[in-house]
Amino acid sequence: MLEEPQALDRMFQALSDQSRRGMIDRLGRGPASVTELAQPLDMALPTVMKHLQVLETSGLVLSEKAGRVRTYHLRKEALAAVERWIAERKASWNRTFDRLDLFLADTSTETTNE
Amino acid sequence: MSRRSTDHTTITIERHFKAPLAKVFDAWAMPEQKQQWFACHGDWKPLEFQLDFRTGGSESNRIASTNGVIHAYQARYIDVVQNERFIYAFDMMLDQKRISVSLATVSFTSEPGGTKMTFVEQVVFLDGYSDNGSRLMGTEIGFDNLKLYVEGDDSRPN
Repeated sequence: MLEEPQALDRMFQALSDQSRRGMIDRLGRGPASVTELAQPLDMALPTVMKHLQVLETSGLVLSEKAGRVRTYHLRKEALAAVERWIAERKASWNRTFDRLDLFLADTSTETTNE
Repeated sequence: MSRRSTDHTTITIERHFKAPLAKVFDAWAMPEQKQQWFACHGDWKPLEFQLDFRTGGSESNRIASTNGVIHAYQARYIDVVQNERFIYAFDMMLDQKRISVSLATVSFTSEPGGTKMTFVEQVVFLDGYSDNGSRLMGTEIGFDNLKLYVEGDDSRPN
């Protein structure tokens, strides 16, 4: 269900914005209120709420209202679908660059000074 | 089941190497050097590796994973500035299925004690990025590979 193309499109779109990625990062450390999410951003509260709406529509975050406070949290299972590809590709490159690192370290012992 | 989709993302990786810039650059540019760290995958079977590192040049790497899936990588170098940066376009295929198309920019800066390398890949994942079975792009195998590489040489200082 989460892997429907449209759902993924919405997630990618939601993740295409730097401030929204910042919010995702923040929510990765635990649930937060709108005020808490707005704090590190140089952004008016309505703009923050608009971003959060995009994130919520994409299915990446959920919100709950308790009294006057709306708390947002990550839907980790949604992130899994979209992030898996990116994480896999990134991990694959990092392993390749680990090999480059080892290759450079190996060949540096052949020269006298490093 | 053919489900068409294109999903875009940008992957940025910054790495620091304790080696002079020219040496790091050469590791990408010289076929016999690049083959050793790029095309080498432990017990995966190398089928073909070719690199013509220059503006307009091409590169290909084909390798069979332990489960028999052929991983094919084909690249074209669009912009090469010696010891500074290069930009290349590439696609990746699992058997007959193209799973992604990318534009990669690799740039280098000297820094105290070595070289900073910045790798930026603008990638289009195609058609659901392939099915679950063959999508194992060597994630697990890669770790084994690295472990073997490290453990295989006792003389390495780290």
